[in-house]
Amino acid sequence: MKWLFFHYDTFLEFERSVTEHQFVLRCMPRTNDRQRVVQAEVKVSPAVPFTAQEDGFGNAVQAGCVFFEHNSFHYSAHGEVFVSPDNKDRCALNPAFAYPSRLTAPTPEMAAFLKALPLEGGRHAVAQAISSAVHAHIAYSPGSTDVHTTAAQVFAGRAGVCQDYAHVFVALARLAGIPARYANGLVLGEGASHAWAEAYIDDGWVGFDPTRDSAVGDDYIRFSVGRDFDDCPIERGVFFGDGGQRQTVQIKVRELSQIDPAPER
Amino acid sequence: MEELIRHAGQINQQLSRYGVKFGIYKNGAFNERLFPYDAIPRIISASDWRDLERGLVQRVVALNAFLGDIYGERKSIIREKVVPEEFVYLTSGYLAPCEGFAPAKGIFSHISGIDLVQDRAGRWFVLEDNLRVPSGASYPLIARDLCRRCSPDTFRRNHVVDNRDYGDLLKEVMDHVNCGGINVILTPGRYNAAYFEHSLLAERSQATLAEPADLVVEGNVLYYRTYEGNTRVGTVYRRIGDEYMDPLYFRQDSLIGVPNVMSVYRAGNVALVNAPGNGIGDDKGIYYFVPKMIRHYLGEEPILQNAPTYLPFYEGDRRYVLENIDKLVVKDVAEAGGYGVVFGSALSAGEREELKATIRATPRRFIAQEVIDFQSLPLMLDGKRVERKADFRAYVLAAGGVKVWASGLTRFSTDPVSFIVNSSQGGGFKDTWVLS
Amino acid sequence: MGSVLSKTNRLFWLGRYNERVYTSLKFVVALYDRSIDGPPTDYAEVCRRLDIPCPYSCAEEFFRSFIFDVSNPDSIAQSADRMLGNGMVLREVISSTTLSYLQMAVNALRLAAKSGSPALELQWVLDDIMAFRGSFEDFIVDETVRNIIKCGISVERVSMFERLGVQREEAGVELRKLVYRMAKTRLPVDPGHRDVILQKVVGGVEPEGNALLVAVESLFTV
Repeated sequence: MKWLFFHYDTFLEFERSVTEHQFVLRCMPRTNDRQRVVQAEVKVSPAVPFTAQEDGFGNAVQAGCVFFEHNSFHYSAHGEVFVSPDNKDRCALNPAFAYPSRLTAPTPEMAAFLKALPLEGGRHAVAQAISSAVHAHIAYSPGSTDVHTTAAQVFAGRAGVCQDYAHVFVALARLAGIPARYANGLVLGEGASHAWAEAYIDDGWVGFDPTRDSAVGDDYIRFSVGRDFDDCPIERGVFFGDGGQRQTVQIKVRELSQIDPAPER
Repeated sequence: MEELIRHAGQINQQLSRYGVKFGIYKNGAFNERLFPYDAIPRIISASDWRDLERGLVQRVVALNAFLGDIYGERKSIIREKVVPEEFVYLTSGYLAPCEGFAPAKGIFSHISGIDLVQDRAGRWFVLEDNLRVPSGASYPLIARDLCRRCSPDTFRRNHVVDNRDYGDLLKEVMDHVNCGGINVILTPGRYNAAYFEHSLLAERSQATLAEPADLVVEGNVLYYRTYEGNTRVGTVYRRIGDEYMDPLYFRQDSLIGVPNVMSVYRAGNVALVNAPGNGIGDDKGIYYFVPKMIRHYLGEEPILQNAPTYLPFYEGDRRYVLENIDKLVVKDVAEAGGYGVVFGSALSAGEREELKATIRATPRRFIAQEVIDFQSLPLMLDGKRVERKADFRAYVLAAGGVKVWASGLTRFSTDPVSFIVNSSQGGGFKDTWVLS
Repeated sequence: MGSVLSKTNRLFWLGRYNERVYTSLKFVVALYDRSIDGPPTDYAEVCRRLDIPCPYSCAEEFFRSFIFDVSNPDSIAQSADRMLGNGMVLREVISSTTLSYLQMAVNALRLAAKSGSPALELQWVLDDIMAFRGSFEDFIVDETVRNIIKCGISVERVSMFERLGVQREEAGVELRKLVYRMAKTRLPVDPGHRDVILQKVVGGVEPEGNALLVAVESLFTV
């Protein structure tokens, strides 16, 4: 069991000012079997009101709008989470996670790849083998893909980032008959947000991290889940304005101890 | 009837005065043309109508139950294996952002357009359910008005149920689920196939016609903007597709959507008519299961029959389809508007083999149906009386109770051999009389 | 501003296009009448005054294209289509009955295009426009809505008269109407342009050059 403090911070700068900026954020962890949110808060600047609600898959969503002219948009989330080493989130299965989504549609090549894997044992072992195979198949290569890249493209191009590893894992696991979903959030010791995957085994969701080829332990804070990235982006916005934009992300995840009662704000 | 035919010229003149048009895109260009109107109505007897009405209400009640079941927690119809999962989750109509949300009063399909045909023996068969944005009601609505003007005697002599209450029915539907505020009809704009209809329905239902830029979300409430300030919106009868509704939840390239309207909807602060996500209910593959839904949810036998349909997904059906393809009509479940419909008899031997191979490879993509030899209706073409295939769209409206509008859209093909009567494929319409 | 308030904007432009069709049609019909047995029409001068391109090779072509050619962006036919387009978006505000007069005007213009003596059908176009004005005056309860349309009509009429250099006196009358209507609508206005107009109407100060035209055309910021 870890007691984690997290601070997630994104700064969007617009080349030319924008107005009527509608946004939807998913940067708040929710309490489930493997993580308990002690306290957490989202802030936006310019300081405008926003609402907190749930999306279709139970993720926490903040929605709002900056109507007036602004040159930057800053949103952040911070809080404390207890994370359990028991890597399982027990809940009923939504069958939607058993079927391909737009970004995770498989190709015949992927089916052949799966067939050639020595898959033995129960679902957990199979999912673990797929995770390792995906890790070996794809080279970590920032900039080689973007948020619209599909699992099929990544599989063929054999290069990508965590989101892409997760998509390929999800596509292959579903092909193998194991419902799977995309997950994102933060990891202790990493300076960027992370994406991994979950597979439904017996009675709940078990995390797999094909990017790092490791188990999802008590150092992972989960923000949201979906069939793929499109279902649960951390931020999505539309506005009136015609310039480019630049994004700076700062992340801090720290372990707290029982004798550290006043974490920084 | 002779009298109506005699007045056909005047009626068409009236139609052009009121700009009764139907827009189509052809070769990338938008054109509006008058929707050809034939003066001879389809006539449905009072007793025939009573049966049809009961069957349609039953069907729409079951379809609404299905949508609530799937997007809710229970998903009983899947759990009990009445409908195979893949028929729900592989359709493009399934929308994840609608998961776990029950719209106001539990109604998903407020306005359902059920397409039927009648065989030569007069039996009705459902061909298709339209639970997203079924169009067309405005045409018989205005045609009746104009016919009564041109030929009052016809309506003195025949006892036809007045169909001009459609606007009131629509208003009732919008008021029933209204979350506080005005009713608006959201149109993508002037260059849309059904623009005439959007504006006429707004007028008749006393709603405000809005274009996307007129609507804005603020503080998780939807507003209609005017230069005197914002007015709260309680119901949006939206005439744009699900995928275009909100760029923050669906297609990000949508320019005709209202950003964050889904947040407002999920907070229960506005009603969307019809609910987004209904595409899982009117998918061509799901159609096969509607009679089973009626038994599952209502414990009743279906009053209205589907056209005899086979699902190549099931091995037995697949064998039948492959062996009898020359007698069947094969439909691609992903296509709409009369596209992706193939008559096995019209294919060359080579094309037939090709289709069979595609069915074998991707059986879930198709349904196959027996070709119903459906009734032709008389119509006047270049001054001569001829017979052409015609179908019928009934409009079922769900407010406090589920009601069937005592009229509907009868569409005919002008092509003497065609069975496809979709208005986007050329063809015209008739008024539909329900006798009292 | 990120977006336009479409209803207000459409009401205003409905008025403008409605008047544009009306005034230019009357003007060009009179021009055509004179050309039957009079001196050749100086259509290049007309184009210059209206500030539109002049790609026409003869008077006959000018008349045909300027009146009937929908694909010509400067034509009356195109203005009529825009008038109808704006009206259609406003059906529930102005009613199907009122809208039908716009539809009939467009239908009559199409008939005239096929006619050997188009002046007859063109008269119907003018009739229908006048019927439209009576109908909206009678039907629309909301005075603000009526006044927005009328503001559009006034702006266009003053602008057309100024450009064509005709009916100077009527232009003055129309300008006074515009001031009155402007006060009744609460449409957003540009204060600088408003002052130019007020100075002329109230103080009799004649603006220099085309300052009045600019002020009138840019008065409303809808």
